[in-house]
Amino acid sequence: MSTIALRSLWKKYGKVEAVKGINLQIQDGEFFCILGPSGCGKTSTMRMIAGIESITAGEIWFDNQLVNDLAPVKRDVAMAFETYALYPPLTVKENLAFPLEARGEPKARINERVEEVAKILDLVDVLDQKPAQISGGHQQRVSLGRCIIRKPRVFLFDEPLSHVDSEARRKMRGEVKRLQQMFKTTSVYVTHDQSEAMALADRISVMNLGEVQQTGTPNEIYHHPHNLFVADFIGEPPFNFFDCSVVSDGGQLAFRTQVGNHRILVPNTIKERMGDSLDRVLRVGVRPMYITPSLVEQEDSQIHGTVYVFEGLGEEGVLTVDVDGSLIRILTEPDFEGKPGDRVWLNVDSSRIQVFDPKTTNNVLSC
Amino acid sequence: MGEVVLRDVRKRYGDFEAVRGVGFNVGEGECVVILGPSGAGKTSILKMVAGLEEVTAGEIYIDGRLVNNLEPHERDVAMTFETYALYPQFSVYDNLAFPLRAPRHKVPEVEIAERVARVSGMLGIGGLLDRLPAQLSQGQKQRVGLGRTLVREPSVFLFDEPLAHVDAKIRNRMRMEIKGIQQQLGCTSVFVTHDYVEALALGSRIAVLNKGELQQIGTPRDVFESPANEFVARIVGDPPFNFMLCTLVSDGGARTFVTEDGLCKIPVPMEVERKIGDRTGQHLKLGIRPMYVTPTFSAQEGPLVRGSVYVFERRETRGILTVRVGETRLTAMTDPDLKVQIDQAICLRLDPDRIRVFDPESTQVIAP
Repeated sequence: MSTIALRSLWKKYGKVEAVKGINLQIQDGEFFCILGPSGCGKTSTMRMIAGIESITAGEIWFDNQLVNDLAPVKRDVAMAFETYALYPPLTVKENLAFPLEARGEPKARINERVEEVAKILDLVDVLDQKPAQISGGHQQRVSLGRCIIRKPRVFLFDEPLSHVDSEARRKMRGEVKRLQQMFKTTSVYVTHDQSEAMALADRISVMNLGEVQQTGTPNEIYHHPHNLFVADFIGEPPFNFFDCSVVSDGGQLAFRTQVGNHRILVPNTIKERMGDSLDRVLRVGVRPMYITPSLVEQEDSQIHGTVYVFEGLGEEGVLTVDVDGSLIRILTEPDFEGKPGDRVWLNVDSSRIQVFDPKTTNNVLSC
Repeated sequence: MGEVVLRDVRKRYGDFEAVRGVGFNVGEGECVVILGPSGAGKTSILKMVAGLEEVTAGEIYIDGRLVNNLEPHERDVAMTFETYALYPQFSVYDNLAFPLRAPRHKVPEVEIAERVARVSGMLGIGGLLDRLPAQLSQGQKQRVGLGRTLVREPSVFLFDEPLAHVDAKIRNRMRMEIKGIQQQLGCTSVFVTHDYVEALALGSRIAVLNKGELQQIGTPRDVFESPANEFVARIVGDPPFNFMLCTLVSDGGARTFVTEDGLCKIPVPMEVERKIGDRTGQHLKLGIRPMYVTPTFSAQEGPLVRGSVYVFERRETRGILTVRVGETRLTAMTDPDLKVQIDQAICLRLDPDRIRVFDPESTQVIAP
């Protein structure tokens, strides 16, 4: 168990600034994801936490211990990487026991732990088999088992599911989440996959170009992104954006789209927080799940366009609407009757809109 | 124009039968998606339609002509491949124009310019015509690859997993655009993929293939709601189809499905009762999609399954709840904000209208 603190952490590779003075506070027992596109600095950050990459400047603390100069093996971290590297000539049982044997633990204790871990990870039936004889899914669980058996202070995962096929990936996500919830070991999980981070994390730090863009719970990041980068990166299909100016529509404030002259009402809840941003051009964002389409004009319809494409995806549908040349995507029920070219009226849930300054890219509603 | 018919098509590589008597039609303007895991034989089928592989047995017709012995360029088809392989020394314009400048096509430059303009406009790459491939992003390269097929304006388009190596966000966007283009052009297409989402989105019909054999061909709705066997049920949908092995028990009148450990008793729904016949005492496999399974915390009467929470995962618009029921695990799609603890006792309600029964031996669907 451990808290992890990163203080003004820098990493430079020659002139390249991969990590630019970031600050993070990871709580004890938290499942913390570092999320971002390739090149954002997430892997460098994790490698510095692990101790396998040198720190250019700044500090890394585990609880009250400064670990900058501590060798990886002394940091008591367990790393689960993409390749699970099981020992082929050893049985599953022997693979699981290995980390404890290497530490010189007594035999009885090792057997007890192996049984415990095998039970939790559903490996009891394959204990006497070798890695080559068991399924990919089993192999991954053995790999996870090897990590957890030591009861380390911290788990570090570096894109462990990157090259796994989608079915195995889905299953493993569930296993990783369950394990972490059972053991409450502090975990740092690096990924580029936003849906993975959103599914697994207690909190997420979104990084881009070496800097932290925002840190928060999945809910906070999803509903209140601090800037356009976070807003666009999280969620799929992504935010729909409209550039608007603010007008007064008979006493009621509204966002008027620059193209097409559609109006989205400004709800009172955000009017106050917008202060003097009201005289600028603003980028208004709405998530696909907060737009309701109708093939019949409604009184409260705010935007209209034509159906471009409808994709029925079994459990849900994605409707793409052409609004004055821009394509807006909406999540719907799996059946939608509209055909390409049909007129469609959209109602936007105003309480869910986010407003950004196109110049600074910041969320105008964030305090 | 552009009708494709396959009749009992087979492909053998040495001793290995990759395609085993596959037959289906692709109507004019239709997009049929061949869906299956890697090794199912779907690319072999596509290559036989294209003329890039010989047919071992069976017939392929395009526009009513038997094409088995025709060279690819005589068939009026165009194929995109997984790797778009653009010519690095040519600009985007010249890459797009390349197929039309081939000696056998001899398309005049004026028409080439028109087609390139039209296709690049459709794909949103009109502003990139002077660039070299090295200057393009992954998504842009994908589009140029697609564009090279579209400029040919063939009778039939063949797509071989064109979105396989693309990031999720770009893939979803391109899938939507491909559908838009298909609808605009109204072209006959055969599209191969292992991704069921692409199949549901793009196919007017889906041909599900496994180990060289056709499992089912039907509309996305047919394949999703009425899978013909266990394989089809599992390959489409996320989270995947739930299965429970049960025994059909009769206690004087109403029949019930009872799980192996006796813990769960599910009354046989009416629609199923009519089709199931006299199988009392037999083992049967119950199946149901997670979207038709709902968690409930009150111990009410009804077709309920009792278990404990294994794990709960949040997705954007929904939650995925996995419940341990004896030896099995069942998944339910729930509200994203559901609050549960690991190992908490919980009940699941199965929508009786959505229960499907499969024969555990043959894996075929029995009812409804």
